[in-house]
Amino acid sequence: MNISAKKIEKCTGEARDDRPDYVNDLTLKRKIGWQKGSPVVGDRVGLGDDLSQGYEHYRRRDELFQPDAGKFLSELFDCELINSVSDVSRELNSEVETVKKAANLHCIELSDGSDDSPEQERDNDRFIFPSGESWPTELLADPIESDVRVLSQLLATNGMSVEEVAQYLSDRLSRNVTASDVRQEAQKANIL
Amino acid sequence: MKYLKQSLEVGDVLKLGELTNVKIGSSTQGVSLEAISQGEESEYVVLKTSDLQRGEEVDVHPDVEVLGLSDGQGIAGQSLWYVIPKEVYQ
Repeated sequence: MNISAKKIEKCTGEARDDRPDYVNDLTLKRKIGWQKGSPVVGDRVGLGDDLSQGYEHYRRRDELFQPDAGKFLSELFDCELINSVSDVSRELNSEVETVKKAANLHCIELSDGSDDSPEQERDNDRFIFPSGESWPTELLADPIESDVRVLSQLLATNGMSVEEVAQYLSDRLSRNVTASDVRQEAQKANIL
Repeated sequence: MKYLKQSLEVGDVLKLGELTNVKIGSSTQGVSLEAISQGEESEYVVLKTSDLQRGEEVDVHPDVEVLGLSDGQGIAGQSLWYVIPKEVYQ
């Protein structure tokens, strides 16, 4: 962690131009669920990018029956994160029966395993900063968005906007953290 | 010659010959097909393109046979129903 009083003084809650490149390169984790994190198939969505655009190449519902949807559906079933028809159904926000029917039509073999993927693995023990540095969560405030060191690092040192911090925390903590939560906590801590 | 009257669902596989007198009906129960089928039957997959807007180009596989249009629900545009030979998928 690298906290500078000068950067905190200058912090406005907007994205800073001279921030480290690794912040600009941050992406959302791949997660099973329609427009929930980066898509399971395709490029990862960058932090602050429009999530719906990351899913534009997806075929869903009735589109799954089109002849050219077979390749996409096969690719999805072959993904490491996907363990069952139910996983595919959640990823596409389409009925399980629709997915089964479309897979059958495209001659995609369905595995016998019916276990859903375990809820996305949550590494609750450590919080990972954009730089890759990780801290034990027990040393941070609960909730993490109220931790003055985390907010100083993300907003001031990393030059992230309030909205980006909210999206980063929501993605990494797998719960909803709003921009308003971040702003409020940052104001309480005199960072904003 | 066979008289057909059945519900239409996307993804269903139907055995059809050459179709004439095709009618598409819409009701609260769903969409139905009424037609005369003649000659040798083959398997076809039912497909649709929904919420058509006036003048919209519909990009479909070259082997499709159009069945007709059904009314959209609420403010949605009409849906185009068509079938495609099942062999296209193999």
